Amino acid sequence: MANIKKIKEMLMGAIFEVFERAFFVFAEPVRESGEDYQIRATIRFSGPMEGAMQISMPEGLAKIMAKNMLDLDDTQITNPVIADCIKECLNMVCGSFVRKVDPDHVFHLTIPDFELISERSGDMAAQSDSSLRLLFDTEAGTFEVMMTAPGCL
Amino acid sequence: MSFNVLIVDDSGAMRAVIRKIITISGFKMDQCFEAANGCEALGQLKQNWVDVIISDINMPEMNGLELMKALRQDPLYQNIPVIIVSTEGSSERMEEARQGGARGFIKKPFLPADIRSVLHDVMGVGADGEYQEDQRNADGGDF
Repeated sequence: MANIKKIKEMLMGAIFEVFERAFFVFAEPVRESGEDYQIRATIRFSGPMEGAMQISMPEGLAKIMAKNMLDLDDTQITNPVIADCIKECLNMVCGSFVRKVDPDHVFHLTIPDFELISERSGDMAAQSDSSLRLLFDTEAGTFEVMMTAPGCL
Repeated sequence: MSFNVLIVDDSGAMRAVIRKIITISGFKMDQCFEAANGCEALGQLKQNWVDVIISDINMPEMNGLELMKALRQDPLYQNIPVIIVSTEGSSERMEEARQGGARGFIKKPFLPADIRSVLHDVMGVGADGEYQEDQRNADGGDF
């Protein structure tokens, strides 16, 4: 249980660091969300700890993140730009997280996958003993980070 | 003196961010070239003179470590300084990059000051933004 608490703190730290530094978005942890997500990205990691991480968010938040990261106006925010920014966001969150888990050894991260979704179905995994689901509220809606790491959570 | 910079990252968004940070940092950049992986970077090097390479590690086709290996094997490119900008920041990976020839290492997510500081260190640019070699030449000139 202590291990899960520590992993949760490290993951939250990675999320805050990336959202604030790269996207100028301030996230507040929440317990529940009724938000419908339209954007999702997934990455897998292997090394001293193995698993996958998925981020889901509403389109409005993804647009604001892309706008903030690249200093673009609304007309320049296209789906490929959003996909690129959200994939990079997840890549940084995962990279920052695994550095906190084990700063000495190499982790291998896959190139993130991106998808547009219309419903809540199709999540990476429902929360189980080997998954961790974190919800955050922002000025542009709620987002969710789900991590699975069999044997570690 | 101003420098030609090659930015190598599979994320166009990240290339744009790095380019913008270098532009506003006061670093004297002449031309800025971009590549989405190591193969494209080698293609850019065939066509353009590059003074410093800023590269990600985790990229499709040819990653940053493979790019550095290819650079080391070519006498024309082996002295071009490489700065790694990556989410991968373990001490083991940083040592691997250093042994591969990396002259600087920046972890993502970075602050604009991180890029500026490492770029200035690696290129020998002083706090005043002047290239130290230029300063030496100016101070030590005969005329």
